[in-house]
Amino acid sequence: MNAEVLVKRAQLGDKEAFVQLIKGMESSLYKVSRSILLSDSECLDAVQETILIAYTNIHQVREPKFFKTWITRILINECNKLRKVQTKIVKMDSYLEPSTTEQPEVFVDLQTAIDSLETDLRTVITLYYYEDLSVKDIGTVLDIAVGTVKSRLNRARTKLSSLMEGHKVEGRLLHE
Amino acid sequence: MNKKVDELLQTWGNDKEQVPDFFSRGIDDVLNSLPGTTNPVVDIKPKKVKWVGKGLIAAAVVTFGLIGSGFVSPAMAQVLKEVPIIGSIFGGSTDSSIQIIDEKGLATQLNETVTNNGVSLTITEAYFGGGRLVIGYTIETDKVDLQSVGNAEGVPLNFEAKINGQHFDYMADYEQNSEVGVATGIIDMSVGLAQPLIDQPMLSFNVDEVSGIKGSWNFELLLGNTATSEATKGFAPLITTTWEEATFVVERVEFTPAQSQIIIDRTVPKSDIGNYFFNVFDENGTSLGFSGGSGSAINDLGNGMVNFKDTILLPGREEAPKGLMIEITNNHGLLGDPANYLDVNVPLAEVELPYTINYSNGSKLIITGYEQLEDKTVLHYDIEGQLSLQSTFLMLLNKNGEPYIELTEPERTSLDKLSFKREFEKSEGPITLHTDMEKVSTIDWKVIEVDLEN
Repeated sequence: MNAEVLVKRAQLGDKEAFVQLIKGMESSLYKVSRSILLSDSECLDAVQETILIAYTNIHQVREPKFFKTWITRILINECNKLRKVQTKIVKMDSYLEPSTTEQPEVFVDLQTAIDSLETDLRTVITLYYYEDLSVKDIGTVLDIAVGTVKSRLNRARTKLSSLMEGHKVEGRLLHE
Repeated sequence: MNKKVDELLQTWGNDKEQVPDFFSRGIDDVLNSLPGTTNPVVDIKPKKVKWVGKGLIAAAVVTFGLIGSGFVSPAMAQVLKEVPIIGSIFGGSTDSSIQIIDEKGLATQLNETVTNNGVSLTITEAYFGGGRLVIGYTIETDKVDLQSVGNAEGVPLNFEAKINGQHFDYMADYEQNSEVGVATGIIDMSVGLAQPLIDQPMLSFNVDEVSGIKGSWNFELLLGNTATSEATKGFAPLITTTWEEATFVVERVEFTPAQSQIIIDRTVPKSDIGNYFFNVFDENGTSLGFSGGSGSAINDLGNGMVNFKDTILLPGREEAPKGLMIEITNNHGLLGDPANYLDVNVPLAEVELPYTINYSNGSKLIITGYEQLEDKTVLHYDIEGQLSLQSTFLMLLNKNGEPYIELTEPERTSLDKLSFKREFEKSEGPITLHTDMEKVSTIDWKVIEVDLEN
């Protein structure tokens, strides 16, 4: 069933419609939370809180077409709250922040390269390419200006390009 | 822009990832716990939400500690020797407010055991106060491998509960640790109750599944003790306020070291049912925080009005304040429209302080100073107008527009004025204060003052 219809029905009190909405977004909710938080259990914490907030406030969404942006914004806020605590306790076995060594790391696949980006860059990449949000909607979700969104996307792409291309440059040097 | 990277990203974005089973089950758990309507009575706050579901109650046999009451098997005795948590399951909790319950001796020691279908379940202790019910338990069995369960990672027991024979609304968090055939755990419930309680309530606690094993473990537990009663500061203000068509009565206020609660009876237009929210402050206008909320069943009065009770949960306190200022807001059903929001950026090194940010509802946030210290950055500000402005969204940004992490909640720095400070991580160079505000105010507010001394 069309998502906007489900939103309308959920707003009228149809719990099953809400359940279908959320189940249809499972992958998105996971991906977006994973772009900010380091562990699956914290992602689940944030998503569960988000679902509770969304369930109780869905009647406040004025236009069903805004629902995805709206719930994504809630999720980002919940993830950032957890991230504030998380930065004080770094789990080394799932540490995804980029290396601080001078030699750039070489990545053979895109997902690993994306995982190595700073959180802010990783989040805009996820929202733009995975969630198909517009630059304007990303600005709304993250509470940042459109210019900042574009800047971060550009930086992310440049960094990914450099990470992905790095090993090819070394190969050429070795063969020269 | 690197075309090849963009193409790779497009492909990556189209590849919808399978979520882990654990994650999908976690989503199912929370969806299954939701009540049957998307229009429940819950006050939603920006910082934390707790949802309340109906606890279903079995009309089953109620028994006192049955088979094996007081009996401890050799395996359990060994575990109890090695794991220094017996008698202090609460003391071993990851939740500091539950540790306080243990430190102050506020829990009722029960040690009631029921054995059924090869599983021994012991309720070791319980605490009830300030809208919170916490139960400690142990499980002993060799029929299944007992698992450790963290917050939001699963439900180790399936149960139904009743207090003094009444259904009650609750939301439960669980933590469980396991050691070779024995598990110890805590069930932490935020409880909404419509009726006042006697001093020693009776909890009917009926379990029908333990770690996947079906059976029947039924308990009748007398809660409350002298220490809890003495640590609880309770009031019945019965202050009534009307606001247009709505009427609010502050019925009960209760402060305990583990959690506090305020119960407000409200009669509002049906069309406004979910539009009112509460923020609670002490007599000096300092926020008392927020730990969740719940609502009772809705009573439709048939004249376009409805009546129900709100339970507002607050963090625990040793002492009660001398008074309360309860700020009620009404958003008239309008979700914050992004188009109605304005970004505000104040480059702190370039503006003259004090610097005033004027809000469309007439409130003001006055930046009075900031300190870039060796280990942190401190922002000082005053507020005028709406009290909840003290907790408004504020961010400090570096010259690249990247945020500094906020380290503390707002802290009151003067009682003469509404002065506060917030601490952020260390910063260097020029910093910008970032916030946002409504261009046109859509939220009205009113304050109920409650004197708790007279």
